[in-house]
Amino acid sequence: MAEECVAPALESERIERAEREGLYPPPLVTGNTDIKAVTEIVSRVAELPRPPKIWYVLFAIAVALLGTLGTMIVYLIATGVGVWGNNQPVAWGWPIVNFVFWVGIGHAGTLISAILFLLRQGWRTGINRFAEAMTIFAVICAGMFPAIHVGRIWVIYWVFPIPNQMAMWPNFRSPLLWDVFAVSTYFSVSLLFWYMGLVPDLATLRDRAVSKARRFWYGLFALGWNGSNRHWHRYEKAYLILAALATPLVLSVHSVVSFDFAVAQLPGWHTTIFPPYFVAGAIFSGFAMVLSLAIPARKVFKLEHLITERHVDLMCRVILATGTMVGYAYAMEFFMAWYSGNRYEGFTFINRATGPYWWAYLIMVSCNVISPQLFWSKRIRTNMVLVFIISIFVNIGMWFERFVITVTSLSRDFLPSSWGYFSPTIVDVLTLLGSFGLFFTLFLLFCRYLPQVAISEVKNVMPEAHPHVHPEDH
Amino acid sequence: MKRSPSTQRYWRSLKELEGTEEFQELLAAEFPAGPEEDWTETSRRRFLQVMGASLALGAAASCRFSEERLVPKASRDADEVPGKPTFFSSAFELGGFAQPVVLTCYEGRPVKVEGNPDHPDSLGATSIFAQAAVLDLYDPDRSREPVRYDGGVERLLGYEGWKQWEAWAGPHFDALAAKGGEGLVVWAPVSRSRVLARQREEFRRRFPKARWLAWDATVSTAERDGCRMAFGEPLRPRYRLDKARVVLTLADDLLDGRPDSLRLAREFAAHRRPEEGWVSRLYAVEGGFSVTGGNADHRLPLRNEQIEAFLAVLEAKLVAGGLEHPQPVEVEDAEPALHAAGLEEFVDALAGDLLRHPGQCVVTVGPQLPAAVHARAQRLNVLLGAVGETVDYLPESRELRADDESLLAFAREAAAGKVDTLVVLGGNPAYDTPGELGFAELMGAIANKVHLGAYRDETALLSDWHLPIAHPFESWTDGQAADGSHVIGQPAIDPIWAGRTVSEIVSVMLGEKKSAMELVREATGLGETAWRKAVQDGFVAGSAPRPVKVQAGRLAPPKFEPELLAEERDNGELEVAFRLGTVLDGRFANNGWLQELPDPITKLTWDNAAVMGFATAEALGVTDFEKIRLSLGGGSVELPVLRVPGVARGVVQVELGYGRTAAGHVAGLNDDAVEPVGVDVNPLRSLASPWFVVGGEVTRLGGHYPLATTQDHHAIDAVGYAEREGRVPELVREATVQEYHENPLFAKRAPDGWGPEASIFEELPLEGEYRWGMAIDLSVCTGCSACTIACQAENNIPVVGKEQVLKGREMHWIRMDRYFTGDLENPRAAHQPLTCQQCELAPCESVCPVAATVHSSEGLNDMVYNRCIGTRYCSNNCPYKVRRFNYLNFRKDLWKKGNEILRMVNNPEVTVRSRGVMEKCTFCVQRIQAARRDAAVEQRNIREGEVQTACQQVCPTGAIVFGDLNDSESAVSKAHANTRAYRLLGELNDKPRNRFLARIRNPHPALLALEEAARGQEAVHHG
Repeated sequence: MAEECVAPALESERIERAEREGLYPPPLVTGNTDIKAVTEIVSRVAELPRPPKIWYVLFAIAVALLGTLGTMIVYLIATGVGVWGNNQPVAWGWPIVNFVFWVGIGHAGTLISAILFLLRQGWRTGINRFAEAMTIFAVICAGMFPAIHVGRIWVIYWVFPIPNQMAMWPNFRSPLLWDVFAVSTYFSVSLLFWYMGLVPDLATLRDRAVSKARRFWYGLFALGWNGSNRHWHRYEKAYLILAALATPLVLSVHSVVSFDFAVAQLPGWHTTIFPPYFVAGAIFSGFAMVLSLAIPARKVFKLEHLITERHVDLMCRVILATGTMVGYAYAMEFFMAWYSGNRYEGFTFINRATGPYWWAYLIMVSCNVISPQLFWSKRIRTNMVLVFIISIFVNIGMWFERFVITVTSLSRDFLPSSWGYFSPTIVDVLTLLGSFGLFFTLFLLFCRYLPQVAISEVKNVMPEAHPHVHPEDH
Repeated sequence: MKRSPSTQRYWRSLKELEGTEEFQELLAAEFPAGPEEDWTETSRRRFLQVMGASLALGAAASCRFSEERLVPKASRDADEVPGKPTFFSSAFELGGFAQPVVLTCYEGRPVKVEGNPDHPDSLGATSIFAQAAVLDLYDPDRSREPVRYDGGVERLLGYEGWKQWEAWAGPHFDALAAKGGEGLVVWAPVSRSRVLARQREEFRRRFPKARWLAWDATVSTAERDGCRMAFGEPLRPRYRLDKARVVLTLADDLLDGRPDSLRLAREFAAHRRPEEGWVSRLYAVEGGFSVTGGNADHRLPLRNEQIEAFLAVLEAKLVAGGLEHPQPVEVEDAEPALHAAGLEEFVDALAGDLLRHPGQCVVTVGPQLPAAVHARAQRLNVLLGAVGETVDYLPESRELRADDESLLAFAREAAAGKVDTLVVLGGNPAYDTPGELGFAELMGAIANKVHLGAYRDETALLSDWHLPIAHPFESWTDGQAADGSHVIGQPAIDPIWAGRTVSEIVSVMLGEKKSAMELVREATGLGETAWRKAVQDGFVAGSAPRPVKVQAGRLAPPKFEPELLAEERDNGELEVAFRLGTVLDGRFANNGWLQELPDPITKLTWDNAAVMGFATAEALGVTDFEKIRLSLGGGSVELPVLRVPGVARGVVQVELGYGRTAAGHVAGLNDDAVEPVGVDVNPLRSLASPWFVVGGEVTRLGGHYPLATTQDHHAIDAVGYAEREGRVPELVREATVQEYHENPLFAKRAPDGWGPEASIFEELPLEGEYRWGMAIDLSVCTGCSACTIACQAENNIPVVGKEQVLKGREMHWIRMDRYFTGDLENPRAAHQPLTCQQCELAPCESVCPVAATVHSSEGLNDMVYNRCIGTRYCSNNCPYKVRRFNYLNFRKDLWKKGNEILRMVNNPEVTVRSRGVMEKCTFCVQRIQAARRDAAVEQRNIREGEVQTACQQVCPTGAIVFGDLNDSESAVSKAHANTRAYRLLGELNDKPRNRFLARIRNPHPALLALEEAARGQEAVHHG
């Protein structure tokens, strides 16, 4: 039976070593949960005849917002991008802000599943499924924005290098084209990675299924997994390869997104610090989003023993580290603006902090730089309510970071004659809210029908997976 | 592509009569003094001359076109090439002066207006109104058929309506004629047309007791009356700025607001380029901020009411300085006034300059000032030796505009029910007359009202008959250009709707029913060859009158009014000044191009506002976009406030021509629930002082009324303000003449070819046959904004409307940047036309994901509309922000039912863009391609000057130069080699193909020192 299968874990060696050296970390699964219980806890959510009431409430809200999004998109396509607040000089407004925001969020998943996997961070197992799902959904939201923000959506396919009778290729010098490749690659690899990780757990659900329909659908996507040694062998190899493939993508996708700005010559965009700064910011926002989702989810679906306070604590530390990096980047931008001696560059930053958008800058700095500093305190890191609130702050702050970069830089560039001001319209606001609707609709469906925690991987990091380490438990 | 009427195919001249000199002389002699020739003083010789000419012309007049109708384009002529434009010279009258123009027609429809390059008033340049006139031609709101209003019921009569009207008019006017015209009033346009002058005479013969009232809300007779006071005869001054070293304008928008401003601006520009010799000095004294004020070396903000006093003290100062004067002037009396107003330095410098340049200086006065100021100023011109040098005087019609007495007499008679028939032939009196007259109410008391006009406007709705007028481009017209020459306007298209001309209507009233062409031809009195040549040229060569000799006479002694000069006006006694803006008196209100054309100074579109200076606003406790009630005399209007630096303290300036309720779907139409654009300020006007009145009171109403300005869309904060102040000197580089002579390279910076120009990568060579380039000379750009509208007409640029302008989505490809620097109460203004700079290393090109904007081998930054998907990345990366995006379908109006006619205005050579597409200036690539085709056919290269961009062609001062940089002899190459040439934002290394030539100012050294001291003090103060 699948639930009894324990993957020959790579972690085992590390744990052995840690045990030997007296560095054995606190357990990643608590509450005397055994292997069977892990399966039970995770599968139960998908097998309940009815999900908790709160799920229905949230799902209703999410679907309503999704409907709003659809309405807004139809209205947009029928009318033109003028339904937004975009203008000259601020030709990119909220849609691009939202795009970068969602892409940034989409960074945590792959980072957790790929980089932390390669770094042998056992604690990733509790949250990786979750985070990867979030990544997929966030990238779906992100990818939607550049597509709908163009003036003529009906010819959007021209950005793809499709051979055509005009022998007309896209412009490979354009960072927007790099975006197309970067985001689509990232999405495909993330999706593949996530799905592959799901296969053994889908098989578990298939095996536990009591209805024909469930057996059919889970069975279909489980791809005939039977937990044989050969399956596990290939699975592990493929997983490792995909992790290695996904790792550079984590760094590249947001670097490429940052090129949209850095390659332009607009003061406030044209800066070499952007790629690392954007990647740090993306991880920052991604982890914050994971926390924003995980903290309520572990409560609602009773996953506290699998997503433990320790997991939360560790994620808070990542947030603290990346938040500080982001803060450093903010400071360094100011320093460079001054140090460059360039009048336009200098003004852009003074204008950000003290110009008409000072409030956006203030929100950004207080949410992104100040609020994560609270995580120096372990008491705060383990207080779920506070962590949740701060994670929301970080999400807000990171949205405003993209707003500040995109809008304030554009609103006042070189020639004072063309300076302007951007005011969003109701369509802007509803489209942003609608994108959350899309995200949460997908996410809630995921919570309901798929295993939220990687069952097989969690088992790997449990002491039971290593009989010779804990012989008395066996 | 030089567009000259001499290339016309249609009007090939006949050779028969050419060369007979006597005949030409007779022609030239026939109307030497304009249409108002006073026949009572004819000498014997003159009589014989005229007799001879009449005989000759009588014979010539018998050669007539057999068919007068224009040929419909249903079938193509044998030698006509579809897509090849034809050019017709034509004209249209504005404020009593004919504007000589050339119409570019494609397949029989005029799509673009250019100036008549052969006429000295234009030399190819045009005003914004001429450019926009073609849009009026295709305005779907134009009335299309005669209309009968019967007890409030509107009946559209169709083309047959003309017959019905004639059936009514014939007996009606015969009956009136029988009564000697009693109870008949004709409300005629102010016109210098000979046809109309003749018809007026005949009208008076047929209807001796009738009134003929000429009216035009834009026309002031003060200039003529002032000359009559000064010189004893009705004259009008013609200034010649090309000889003037010192120019003083008194509330006179010399460079933009006069009928001959095109010529004046060109003459002014002739001495603003320091390489070409001396540089003139322009002093402007004015209440509002005009284009001329923006170009002045010194500008003094004074209320209009103070200008007479200012002129008096100036005169005294001049006399004190040794000016010979026919009257004793109490020089000492002027001192206290000068002192009280703190004007000593300014007047000292000005008087010194004037005295140093006798015969090379001129004083000009705005037509809106009272006649007394004109009289004094014109006499001063005589005393300064200006006559014959910088100014001369042309005979002026005695009856230009009906005088106030006859207008008031008409009002009394009408109110008393003594007017039986009113025929409105021009204007829109129910809207554009001063509120004092109460015209709309008067119409209720008149039994029969006939209205001839282009729209079913406010007057039409109160009439019994509305008759559609033919657009000037559809009709035979004549008139007088500002230089006095006789201009002939031929139609370039048959009346699209059932329009007829003013002359044809009068002809019916006279019971003769002549066609407009017959009438025009009769009025010229030319023989066949000369007539054909005149029609082809657009004017009768040599018909400009000779200047009249004048002598300085005696005038009332000057009044020095120290109190008035020093006095501040508080609320309740504010000076309300009426101004003509882009829609004039409202006749262009329904013209979207003009509504959306930003005012050169305020940058306001789609509205009028209570424009005031910062100090005035502060004293009143009001700020931008706040609504106020402006009361004056009995009337009051509610307007939003717009603060503009440099408007004199105590002045509230309001624009005429807004608040139309029956203009059309653009400017306001009550019948179709279209809100009026702006506010009608005519209720505040009076006949006695139509242009400025003291006694305005402002009441705060609160509330926010957004005004759509294209610059400073939003009130600027302190940080932005400081930065703008800091940047402007780098963007609009300026120097005084002295600084220029000390360092002619003052405008150069490292990237302007005066330093290394290395690229960090290998650049693609641009190996085209031509290297197109542009140069814009800021020293002669006046900021008039004609380029903006010429570009709009040439390139099918959509009108977006107020809501979109408020959002910052206006579409102008060439915009006029305006910056103020210095003191808020008396700033300097700088203008900078900004269009695509056609960067060789264009930042927009590399970022487009679909390669929709790419470089041509000739250096153009091409925009491929149908490849564009609308990411707008190019706009973000454009440092000049000259790209324009179709955020919505701004061409929806073309597809509205009933608007089909509007499509005809589009230039067939240029794509009409739809929504979601980026667009921008292409250096009029369609014109380059047309020239290339011509050159290819003739197996030669494109010649220098053959391609003119639309903005270049319209520019009166020649500030814009375009051509091939490969040709070292081309004007543009020379401009690029000019020491003043610089690249805007050159440090970005985008290598723009356009260069600006730095602006040269010529301030008076003493005043400059004063200014600098004041600035230094301010710096200390703020430091």
